[in-house]
Order: sequence, then C-alpha cells, then structure tokens
Amino acid sequence: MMDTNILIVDDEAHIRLLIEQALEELEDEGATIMTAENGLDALEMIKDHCPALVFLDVMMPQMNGFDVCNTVKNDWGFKDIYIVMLTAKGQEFDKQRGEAAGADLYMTKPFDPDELLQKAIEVMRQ
Amino acid sequence: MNVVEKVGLNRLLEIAQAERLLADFRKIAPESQVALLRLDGRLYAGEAGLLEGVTWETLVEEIERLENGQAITRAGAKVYPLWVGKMLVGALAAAEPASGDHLTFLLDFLKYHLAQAFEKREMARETLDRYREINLLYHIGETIGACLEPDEIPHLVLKEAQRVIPASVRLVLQPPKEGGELEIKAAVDEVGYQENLTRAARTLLSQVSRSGQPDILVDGLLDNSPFGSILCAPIKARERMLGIVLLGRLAGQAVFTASDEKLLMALAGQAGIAIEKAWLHHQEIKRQRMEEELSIGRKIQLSLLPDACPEIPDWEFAVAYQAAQQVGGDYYDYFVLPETGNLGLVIADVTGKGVPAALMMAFSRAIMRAESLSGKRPSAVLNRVNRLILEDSRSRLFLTGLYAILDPKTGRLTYSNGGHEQPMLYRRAENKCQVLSSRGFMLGAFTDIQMEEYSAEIAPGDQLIMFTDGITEARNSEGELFSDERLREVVDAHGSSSAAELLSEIVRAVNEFVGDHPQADDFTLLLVKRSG
Repeated sequence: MMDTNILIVDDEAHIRLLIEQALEELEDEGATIMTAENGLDALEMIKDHCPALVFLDVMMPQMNGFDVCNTVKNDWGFKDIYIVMLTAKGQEFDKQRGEAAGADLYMTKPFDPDELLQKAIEVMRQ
Repeated sequence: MNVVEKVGLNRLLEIAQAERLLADFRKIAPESQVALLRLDGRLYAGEAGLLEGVTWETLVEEIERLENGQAITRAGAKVYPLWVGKMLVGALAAAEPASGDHLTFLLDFLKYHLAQAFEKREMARETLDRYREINLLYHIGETIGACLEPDEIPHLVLKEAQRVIPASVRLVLQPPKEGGELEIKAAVDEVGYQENLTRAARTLLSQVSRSGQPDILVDGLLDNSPFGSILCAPIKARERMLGIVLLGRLAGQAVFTASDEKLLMALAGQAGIAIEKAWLHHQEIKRQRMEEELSIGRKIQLSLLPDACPEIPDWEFAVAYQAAQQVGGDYYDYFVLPETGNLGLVIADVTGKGVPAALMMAFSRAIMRAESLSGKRPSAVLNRVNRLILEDSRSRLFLTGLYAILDPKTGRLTYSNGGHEQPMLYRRAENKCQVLSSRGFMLGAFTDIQMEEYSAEIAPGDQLIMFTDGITEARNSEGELFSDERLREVVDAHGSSSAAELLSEIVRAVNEFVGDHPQADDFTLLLVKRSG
C-alpha cells in the first residue's frame, strides 16, 4: 500500500474532511490522501499524482463527477484508477450515466465510515 | 485493530501545502535551508540532507524536553519541536543562516496552523463517531431488530459490535431463565484469552449487573492479565437486566473510550428491546398454540356430551351448557339403560376449571357410563365411581355428581347425590317449585362412603331442574350470587312453560343478573318435563 495516492473530490469541505478522517489509518500504511474541491482541480491532480482510488462527488459546480470520471476513464484511458462516485441520499443515482462514465462503484451519503474504509482497503490491496 | 495513536504531521498538514509554505519562506529568506521532519525522523517536506548523521531517537528524547520556540543545534542546524498542545507531532530543522524574525514567523505560523488542523480533525473525528452511531443503529434495526430468535441475538450483538468497537475478545453473558450466575451465551475469542477476560472482569461484571450502568476498566488489571482495557455494558429492557456485553482489548491496543462506551450502550439498548420482543413473540406463538390445542380440546369435550336430547313420548328435555374457558369441568349425560328401557341422567361438576378439570370430566364420564350401563342402582353406581376415582386418579381433583334413573312410564325418579346441587322439582299441582332434598359426599374425596338413595314422582306437568353451581353461584359486578332463591323464583314463575321455554327464561335471568361481569365458572342446566 506504500506510496499509493487516494484522492477525495467534493465541493463541500466537511465531506472532504470526514472522508479524510475515515481513511486516516491508511496514511499509517503509507498511503497519501489528497483532496480537491472541484472537478477541474481533480483532473489536474489525477494527471499529476495518478491516484489508485478516487472518491468523487457527483454534484459539483463547474464540472460534475460524471464528466470528471468520463474524462479520466474514457478520454485518458486511466482504466486502473478505481473511482467511487458519491451521491447524496434522496438523489437518484443515474446508474446508466455512471456506468457509461466508467465508475466502478457508487456510495450514498451520509456514508458508513467503516464501509468506506473497507472499500478503500480492498482497492488498495488489489 | 487500532494501535495507540500518534498524530503526525501527515495528518495535520498536506505535503503540497508544506512544500508551498517552505517555498514561500525561502522567498523571504533565500539563503536559508529548512525542512519539516516526521516523528520518526523521516523528511516530510523541504531540504533533504539536513541533520545528516544525527541519531534521531536520541534527538527526539532531547527535543521532547524543549518548550515551544526553544531549539537544540545538531549538525549545524537548529531543531525546533513542533507541539500541538502536549503532543509532539514533528520537528522543524533550519540550517544557518535561517534565523531571527523570519524563522519565528514560520514557527508561529506552523504552530497556529497545526493547532487549527488538529482542532478540525478532532471535530471531524467527533462527527465520524456520530456517523458510526447512526450507521450502527440503522444496521441494528435491520439485523438485531428483525431477529425473533432470543438465542440468536447475542451473536448478532457481537457481530455488530465488532464493526464499530473492535476488540480481541467479545462476550455476551446472560443469566439462565431460572435465574442464577451469568453464563456465556455468545463468544468470539481471537486470541484464546476468554477465561482471562471473565476472570479479569469478575468485579466489573457484578458491579455493572448491580448498577445497570456501563463501565470501562483500564487500570488495575494489568497484573497477570493480557488485557489493557475492558468495556462492559448491560443489556436491559425496561430496567430489567437481561445480560451483559463484555469486550476486551489487549495491552498495547487502543484503550476503550467514552465514545466506545456510548456506542456499546446504544447497541446493548437495542439488543435488550430485541430480546424482549423475541421473547414476547415466542410467548405469543406458545399462547396461540395452546389456544389451538384448547380449541381441539373443546371440540373433543363437546363430542363427549350427548349430541341430541332424548326423544321419549310425553317427555321434554332441554339442556344449556357453557364452559367459562375453552374447556370445562361440567358435564351432563343421558342414556337408555339396557333391559328396563329406563333413562339414566347424569349431571356433574369437577372442581377447578380448564384442562385438568376437562381431563377429569372425560375420565369420570367414562366410568360413570360404564357403571350405569351395567344396570346398578344410583347409590351403587356412585359408590363404585367414588372408589374408582380414588384408586385411579392422582390428580387430587374431585367432582360432585348426581345420577338419576327415570322410569318414563311411571314418572318415578330414583337418584343419588354425590355432593352435588340439590335438584328442584316444579309441581304443577301446587304451581310451585320444591327442592328434592338429597345429601351425599363429594366423589373422589373420601374412602368407604355409602351413598344415600332417594326417589320422587314426576307427575304430568311437573318439571325437573338439575343444574351445576355455575347457575346459582353466578356473580354480578357487585359480587352478589344469583342464588337458589332467584332460581326458584324463575321456576315458580315459568314452571308451567315448556322445558325449552323455562330453560331460556332461566338462562336469560342469569345473564341479566350477571350483566357485563365475566363468567367465572362453567354452567350446566338440564330440564326434564313430563308433558303428558
């Protein structure tokens, strides 16, 4: 798990902080957790740091999560990056759109911190 | 499993942010060399190569003794500890000529930033705990809350607890249903220390059982115990202790916190409700099963009663029978006696109610029939029945019974009374009812008794009333008895009516008298009228 990067993308600071906190024990194993607050920054960071795992909010200003995912997976061909789309409870996640964009999984906020961590550990181990 | 946590720079300051900060510093102090170091001495950001050759472990011991702003010099660089409160999170190394105001500004800024980040982190941690709590409760609702097997719930409790409060040894203890010492009902032991845990927690268990409050044991168990902390929470339902959840973490692992205690209480609280719900569910199933069995019992019992009244010219018969519960101890019977063609009449009442009385009723009916059909006289039948009940019945139930033989041709009634209500006879000639005086011992209570035998003539228009005490001892809401007098009054007023009419008048009068008061006893009423 050493030297793997994990990127958290959400326009809401408290969600970024919470996910960061939920994943903190991965940092002890050498993972670096990075954050981005919009889709454009996220693309830049993905290009520069090539994270193994991205938690990606769907609803964001400027560039939404589907478009970010589509760019990474389809336009750039970074198929190995595991992308978890985060969707708010009550919002119907557009599964078709997520699939077309190449998302690997989607989770509903408020998320279960332990499930999130478990998922991250699984992905890191692969 | 969490280890005792040390918060390092990486948790409070992103590398990119740290690099930017140091780059900005170098803009105002271009000659300086600065580096941020982790707790283990590894470079976090800035210049590599500072402190080369310095043994980090001894350096940490020295800088741990320094105040904020103080530094020690090693390999030509000053090393400043970075503190957040009382926690060392890393160090700043600065090689000459980095010094003076700029460095003080950098240190102050770092101190401020790290404190802010730490506070934010603590708030996020707190919020995550709430998230965990909400998720736990949600999961419990789906798993434990939906479980209707009381024995399954302790296992689910341990499974759910492990999701949020990991522990090496996890136990649920419950007292046996009949009471007594706590017993282990579910256990997960990853390290083979289950017995050590129950031994180490003995005092804690009895304390939590008594107080009904959760508790954490951290100190005082380290001697001869592999455990570093023990968490214990009661499983209660409406203040009743149903069990205890006990979690143990080994020495060296993170100790249980107040937040863990709160979470476990939430879990144990839900478990208590679930266990009670499951018990109630089981009781309800048992009750339903018993109801079904009683309903079958009632059908069997009713099938033991005659299905129709006898049809004999110039005679009318009418019967009312009602059990207070599904099954009862009253019964009546009539049968044509062989050879003579006379009619045997029986009315009886077993002491008690419900299933035991019903079983006794079936038993006594069988022997009463067998003895009567052998052609014996009423007193001989009751003597024999008394003896057979004494010999065969260990139930300690008794019965009162009246056996009468009616000669339909002459209207002669011969009867014997085993402690039963004395029958009444309405005399048309006098338009009045008389009690057919008859005494005798209750059946199944005394050995070697000799029953008396009585006789009476039933003239045309007369009506014989046999009944159980459920009629005369029916109570109204004030606790008054219907009584022999009230029964007599009804018979006096309606004795000239048909048997069926008099029967419905008596039943109506009893029901009116009782009102809404629930029927306490079985009642049976058997009327025989000589109509011609």
